[in-house]
Amino acid sequence: MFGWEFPPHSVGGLGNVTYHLTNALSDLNTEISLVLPVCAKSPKMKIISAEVSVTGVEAILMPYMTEKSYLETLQKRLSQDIVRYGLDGGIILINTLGVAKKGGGVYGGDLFRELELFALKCIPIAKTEKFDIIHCHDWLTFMAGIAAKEVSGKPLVLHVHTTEIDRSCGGKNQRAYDVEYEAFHKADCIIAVSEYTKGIIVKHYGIDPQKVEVVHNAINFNGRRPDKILKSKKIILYFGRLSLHKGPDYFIKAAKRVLEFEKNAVFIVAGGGEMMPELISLACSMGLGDNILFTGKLTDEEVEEMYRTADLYVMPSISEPFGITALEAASHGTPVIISKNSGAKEILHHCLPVDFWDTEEMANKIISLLKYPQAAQEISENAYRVLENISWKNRAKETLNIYNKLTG
Amino acid sequence: MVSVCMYLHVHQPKRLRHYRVFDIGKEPHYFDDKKNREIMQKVIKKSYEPTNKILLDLIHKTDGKFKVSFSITGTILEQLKEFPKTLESFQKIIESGACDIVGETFYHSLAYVQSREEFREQIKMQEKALKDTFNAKPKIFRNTELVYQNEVAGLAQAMGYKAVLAEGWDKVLGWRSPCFVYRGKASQIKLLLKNYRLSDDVAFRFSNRGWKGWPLTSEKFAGWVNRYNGNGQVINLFMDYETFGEHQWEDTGIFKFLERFPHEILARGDDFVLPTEAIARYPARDEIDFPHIVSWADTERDISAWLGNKMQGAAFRELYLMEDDIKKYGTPEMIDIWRNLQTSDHFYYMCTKWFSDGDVHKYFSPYENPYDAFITFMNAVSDLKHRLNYIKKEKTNFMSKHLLNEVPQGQEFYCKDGKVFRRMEDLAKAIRSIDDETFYNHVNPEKNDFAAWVEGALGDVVLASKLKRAQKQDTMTRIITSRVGELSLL
Repeated sequence: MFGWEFPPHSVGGLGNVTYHLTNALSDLNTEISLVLPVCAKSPKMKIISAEVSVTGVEAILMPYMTEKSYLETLQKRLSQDIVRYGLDGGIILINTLGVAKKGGGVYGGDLFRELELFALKCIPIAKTEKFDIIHCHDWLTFMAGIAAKEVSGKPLVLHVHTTEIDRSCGGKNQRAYDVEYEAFHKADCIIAVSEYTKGIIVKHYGIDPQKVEVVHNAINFNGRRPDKILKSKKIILYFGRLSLHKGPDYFIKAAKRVLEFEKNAVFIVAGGGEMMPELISLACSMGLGDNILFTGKLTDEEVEEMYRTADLYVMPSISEPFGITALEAASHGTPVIISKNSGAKEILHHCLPVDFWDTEEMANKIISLLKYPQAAQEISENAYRVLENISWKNRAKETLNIYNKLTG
Repeated sequence: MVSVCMYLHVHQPKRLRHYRVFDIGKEPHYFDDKKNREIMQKVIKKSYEPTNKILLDLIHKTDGKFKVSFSITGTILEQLKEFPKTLESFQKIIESGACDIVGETFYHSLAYVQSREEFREQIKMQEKALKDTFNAKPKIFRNTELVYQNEVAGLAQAMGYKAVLAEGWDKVLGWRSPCFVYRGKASQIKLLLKNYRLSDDVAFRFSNRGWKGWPLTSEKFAGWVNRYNGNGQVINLFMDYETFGEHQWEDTGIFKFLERFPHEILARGDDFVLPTEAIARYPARDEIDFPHIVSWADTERDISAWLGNKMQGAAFRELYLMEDDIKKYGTPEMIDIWRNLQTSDHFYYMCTKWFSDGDVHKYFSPYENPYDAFITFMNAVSDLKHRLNYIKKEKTNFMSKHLLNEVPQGQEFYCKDGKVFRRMEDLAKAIRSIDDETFYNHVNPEKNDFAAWVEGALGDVVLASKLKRAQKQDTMTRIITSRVGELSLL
C-alpha cells in the first residue's frame, strides 16, 4: 500500500485515512507493506499496528501537494540540507538527474520529476516484497502504483480522496489531471470516497462506473457524547484549510448576513492556509469585527475543544470529496450545515445540505437552527444514531471484498 | 354473503413555499400556490380523472350494485375550485346514490389531539363545505388519519353522527374480527373497522414483486374476500384514494384491477355496501374499548409519524398556543392561514423516523429533509404570530401608562452619539438635539431604528407605526412628545 504518514498536527484527512484503514485491515488479518514518502525530518508513522511493515522512501512529497508548495518545500529543504546552488529567483536549475542532496540522495526538482523519482525508488520494493494487491492513496502515489503494477503484474487499486477537479475549482492543472487520467485508465479498480467523487471520476475522466467502487470514509465513534462547553455566545464554526475549494469566503459572507439578525453570534474560522490574509481583510471590510475570529492552525486538543464549544458546524466547500470533519463535528453533538457538493452527507443524512454559493440560504439555516433549538437537538441526536453504525472496521471489510473480487 | 365496504380518502395539502427567516415580518404569503397547482394537475391526470371515470362506469355497468364512499377534505375542495371538471366528476359519483360522503375535519388536521373546540369547529366547516359542494350531509365520521379513541365516539355522537371509521387494530380487537359492525364504548356510535390486511394488499403491496401474493389479480382478491363467508359480514376496505394511479402507478395494472375486481366480487355472490347501509343491515356485535389513540399509520398505529419528535412537538405546541388570540383578534384571512397550517401533512414532513434508512416517506415530501420542513414551518408560524401580536397590541394596549415604563435590562437603545435611552421620555427629550449624521444613521430609507425600538422594546405599536411613516427629525420629535403627553395624562 502506498500511503501517507500520520502527522501529529494533521493537515487534512489523508494521513488519517491511511492510518485507520491499514490498522482496521490488519485487524482483519490482512498483511500490509506500507510504503510512505518520507521527508528527512518528518516523524514516521509510529502508532501503526505491528502487523504492518513500513518502508519509508525519501521524497519531498506531502499530502495535497501542489507544484507551488512543492517548490517552497524543496527550497526550504535545500537551504537546510545542502549547499545552495543553482537557485535563481526561486526557480531551480536542475540537471538531468535532479537536484543532488548532500549524502547522495536525489530530489526531483519539480513536482512531476519528484513523482517519477518516487516511482523509480519504489520499483525495487515492488520487486522484493510479496503481495497480491497494490493499493494507492491519492494521485501523488499513482505513478508509483503504476510502476509497481508493471513490474509485478498485480492488480492496481486507486483510492481517490480528491481529484484535480475538486482541488482546482475550474482552473485545473493539466499535468496533474493527466497523471490521474492515465492512472484511472490503467487501474483495475478505483475506490472513491463518495458517490459524489465517483460521479466526478465517471464524468470528468470517462471511467466506466462499473470500475469505480464507493467506500466512504469513517470515524471510530466510541459512543461517548462529550459535554458541550457552555458559554453566553452562539458559536458557529468553520474548520479546514483556508483554500479556495473549501469556500471559507462563503462562510464569511453568510456570517455577515446572520449578524444582521443575530447579534449574539460569533463565527470562528479555524485552520491555516494561503487565503488567510485575504479572508481577514474581507471580514474587516464587511465590518464583522469582534464577531469573527481567526485561529490559525490548531493542535488536536484545541480542535477537540473547538468542536465542543461550537453550536453549529458549517462546511461550505465548493467541492468536498468526503469531509471527515463533518462526522467529527457530529460526534461532538454539533449540527452540521454542509455543502451539497460533498460526500459526508451521503452517510450522515442528519445534516442540512446547502448550495455553497447560496449564502442567503446558508444564513437562513444558521439563524433558524439558533432560533429553533429543537431542530438542532433532533439533528444531533439522530446523527449520533447514524455514527454508531459507522466504523473503519466496516470500511476495511468493504475494502477486503474489493480485494477478493480482484484476486478471484 | 359478505359485504365489501369500500371507502376512499381524498386529500391534498397546501404546501408551504420556501419561507426564510428573512421573510418574517415582511412577507405574509406562506403557501406555494404554483407548486400546489402543479401537483393538483399531476394527480388529476394520473389519478382522479382515470379513477373517477372507472368508478362511475362501474356504478352504471353494475346498475348501482358497486358502491364506494369518499371523504374529501375541505383543503382539497378549495383547490379543486380551479378544476371544475374534476370536481364535477366527484359530484356525479356522489349524486349517483351509490356513494356515501364521510365527514371529517375541514383542514385534515390533528386538532382532536390538542383542542376539542377547534376540532368541532372544523367538523362543522366541513359539513358546510359538503352541503355547498355536493348538497350532502354526512352521517358517518372519520377523523384525520383515522385517529380514534373512545372519546371520539362521544364527540361524533353529540354532533349527530351514526358511525365512525377506525382502524381494525389487533391490539384493540384481541380475538375479535374486524369484519363485523361494533359499537364505541359507552356510546350509540357504531364502528366500522378497517380490514388492514386486505386494504393494504391493494394500497401498499399491489406492486410489490417480493410479496408472495404478487401479482394480485381481481379473481384472487375476490376469492380472499369470499373466504370470509361464515366468519365475517362486512369487509372494510379503507384506503387513500390516490392508491389508484399515484401510489400505485398505472403501469402496475392497478386500473385494470379496479375495473375488474367488483365484477368478481359480485360474481361470487358477495356484494358492496355503503357505511350507512352496513350499520343499518348488521347489528353491533360488541362494544370495543379504545383507551388510547389508534391511527391507521405505520406498524405502530399511533401518531408518532406526526407528533413523535421534538420538532413536531414544538411546532404543534407553538401553533395551538395561538388559538385563543387568533380567534379573538385575528382577521378571517389569518384564521384561515392558521388552520391551513394545522394540516397534518406539515407535521408528517418533519418525521425523522425513517429518514436514515429508507425513504418510505420521501416521495410524499416536498422537502429535502425533515429539518427543512420544520424550519420553513416555524418561520411561517413566527410571522403569523408576529402579525397577530401586532394586531393584539394595537387592540389592547394602545392606551396604557405602562408604555412609559423603563425597558428591561438589555433592551436599551444605544444611540450612535453615545446616549442610552431606557424610556419613551428619554427618546422624546434627546431626539430634537441629535445631530444630522447620527439621525441619518438610525433613520434612512433602509431602516428606522427608533420605530423598531419603540415597537420591539417599548411595545407601543401605535407610536411605532406613526414613526415609520415620519422620516423627518422635527416631525418625529413632535409625534413622540405628543404621545408622551397623551399617555402621562392617563
